[in-house]
Amino acid sequence: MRPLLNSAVPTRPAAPARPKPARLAWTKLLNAAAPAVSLATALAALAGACLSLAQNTAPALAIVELVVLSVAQQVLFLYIYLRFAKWDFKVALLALLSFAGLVVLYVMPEYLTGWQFNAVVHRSFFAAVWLMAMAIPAMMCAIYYLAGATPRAEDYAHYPLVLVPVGLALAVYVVLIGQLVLQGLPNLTWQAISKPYFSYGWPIKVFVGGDWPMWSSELRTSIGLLYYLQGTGLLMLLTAVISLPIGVGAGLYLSEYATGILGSLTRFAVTALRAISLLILGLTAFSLTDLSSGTPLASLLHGRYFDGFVWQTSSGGSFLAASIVLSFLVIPLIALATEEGCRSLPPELREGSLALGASDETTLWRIVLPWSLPNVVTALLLGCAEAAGSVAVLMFIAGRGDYGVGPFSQVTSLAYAIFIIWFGDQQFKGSMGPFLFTAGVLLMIITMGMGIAAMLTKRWLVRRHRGG
Amino acid sequence: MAKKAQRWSLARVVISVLALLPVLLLLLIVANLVWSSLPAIQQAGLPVLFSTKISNVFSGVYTPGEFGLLPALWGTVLLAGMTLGIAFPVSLAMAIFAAEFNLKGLGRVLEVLLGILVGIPPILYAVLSLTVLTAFVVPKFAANGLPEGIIRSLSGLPPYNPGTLPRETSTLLGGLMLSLLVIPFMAPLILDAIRGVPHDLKEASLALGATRWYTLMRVTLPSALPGIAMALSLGTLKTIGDVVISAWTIGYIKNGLPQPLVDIFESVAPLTSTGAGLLNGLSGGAAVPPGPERGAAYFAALLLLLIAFSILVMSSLAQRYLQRRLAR
Repeated sequence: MRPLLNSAVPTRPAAPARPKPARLAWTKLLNAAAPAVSLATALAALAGACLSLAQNTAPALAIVELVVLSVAQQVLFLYIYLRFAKWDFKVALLALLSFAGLVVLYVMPEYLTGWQFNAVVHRSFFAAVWLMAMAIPAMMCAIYYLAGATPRAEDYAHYPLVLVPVGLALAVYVVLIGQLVLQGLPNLTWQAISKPYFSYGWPIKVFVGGDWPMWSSELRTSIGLLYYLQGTGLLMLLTAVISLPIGVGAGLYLSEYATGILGSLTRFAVTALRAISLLILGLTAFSLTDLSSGTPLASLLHGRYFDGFVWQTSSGGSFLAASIVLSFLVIPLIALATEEGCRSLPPELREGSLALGASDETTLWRIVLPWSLPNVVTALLLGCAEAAGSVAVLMFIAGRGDYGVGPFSQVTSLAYAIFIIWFGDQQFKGSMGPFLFTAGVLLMIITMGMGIAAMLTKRWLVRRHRGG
Repeated sequence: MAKKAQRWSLARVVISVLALLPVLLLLLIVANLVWSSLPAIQQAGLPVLFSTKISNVFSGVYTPGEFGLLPALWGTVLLAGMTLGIAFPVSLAMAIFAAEFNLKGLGRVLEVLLGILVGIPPILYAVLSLTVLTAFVVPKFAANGLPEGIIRSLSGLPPYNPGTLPRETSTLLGGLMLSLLVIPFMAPLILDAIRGVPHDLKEASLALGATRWYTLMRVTLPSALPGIAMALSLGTLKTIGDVVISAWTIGYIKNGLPQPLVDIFESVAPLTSTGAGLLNGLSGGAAVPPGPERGAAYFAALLLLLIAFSILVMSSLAQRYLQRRLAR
């Protein structure tokens, strides 16, 4: 895009001094007033655009704002001629387009349809788009002339172009997360997180003694998120345990030994594992459990449960199977972070260690690995957060966690619980429906907590290890 | 770092074996996809797989043996276009703000915020799509407030009723929610690319009297183009790879192409959610029996894999080309 306003670099020779128009007394008064008024109307138009996006307003407000904007642009146009002795036709175009927009908005019916599109569009959407499209250039012009039409003013003039999208996007995030918290918090009671969801008819064994187990019917109608919370924790733990050694090993290999075709193959594999679709990992998890049924591995990879009398094997996958597939996602994360950490090691440290007679191996364990520890811990925490929030990987193998949580029981997690509250059967939906946003709040706390912990840990460890 | 001929210590053996695991895993994943999609290719054939007719037990009319993936392929293209059309300009603006318009240290705050937002899992955006649906999409695009008969004659959409929200809505909603997922992912990558531009270039431009904006547009962004292209391709991969948001907001199966081809108000399920729907991802465990329909789910995943690899290869080629053009 060419700069909207005059560029700072003078490209043509200075024009012969043209006679200045006679300065009237009120021009001085208008020096700051006209652009300031124009800026104010543009800000009002921006607010109107936001309002039109938020609700189906009547067009009256947008029309009034467009009238005011158009008039302000015309005044600015005259002001520019009077003060700078030039016709700025961009401002005139803005005035014209604002006027055209208000005419279109005036004759527009409330709902637009046509071209066989599968929707009817409310005119407030058009109003919002048009107000936004007018307000941002109007703000840019106003700021440019308010700041004196100098090259530096051109920099100031581009602030709205960058700030408005950023501000709008952040506002959307704030509103949405606020909605999640507002709707989820009322149901976030101790009962919700301390009781499991249990639906099946048979009772749960509570005590084994003598010849005959004791049964309890206490859990029969229980509704809560306990097993999902526990499952999320177990999933994170298992994934971390599986992926940490492999990830660190791959990272060390990439930074220390990766040469030739094997090195580039490893690098490609690590990149590609991050890049492939989550559906592929979900199908892999499904294949892992599906292909293992009937083999000795089934007792490890299939979810097992005790139905009160004997151990049963479900068709779904166990926590172990899910963690194995989730670690496909986390291994590349840790590997790339470890590699980055190792590469940032100053060569003096390594050379000093080798010069003092330490072997390659000792240098690796005592110098290189501790140096990259902050990166490893950060990546591990982020990977755990990813494991906690992943649904697609569990989608085909997970269950509702009716029988508790253990490495070999059927996998379940908070994120999956949210998924089946919406997509599951009517009974589950009916009893767990109120917990939809509550589970969302809990999941957000877990994942955001991991993210913040990752950030803090990295800063803390960096300071400790590198003496910064 | 000078690489001398190192002896094979125990540590090196262990590390090399661990490093070969990702390669092995990738090979196993690809082999499994190919092997599992063979029934569909052999029994149904490619013409059926690339037709526009598709149905399963969850779509309105179920005709066994119909699993054409062409609508899903188009849905992926439409969704990626929609998402990146929103997410790329916004993340570019965020990166420029944090790198060049660092207003009173607010850019640093934005960076930390992005670091926190990037951890929000997709399922939360899927849940929040209900809020966006009731607050924005339905009032603006589904004629809230019109009498029911007029809505039906105008659009054929289900009438708006907060009690029974339509489960399958539109590519529009999917694109909006996915762009919320992709923005915090892409913005830091673009920011890194902009930060990586050598200071000499910028300072030379500023010293010659160019304004900061002119420098940004003519010097910084063109120099950062390889990194920006990489960020865009990674964002594309994240977009087309997402299952949960597209399943929740767009739906599982779409029979036939949308009538105006770019109708973002229709629910054109992308490849990911179509694959999940073909395998019946709704109730864990109760998947369809082995056969061509299950094979079609794996074939959808195989298509995604091919698309992902081609995007990776193309982006690295583009990166090389751009870097060579910059070096000249």
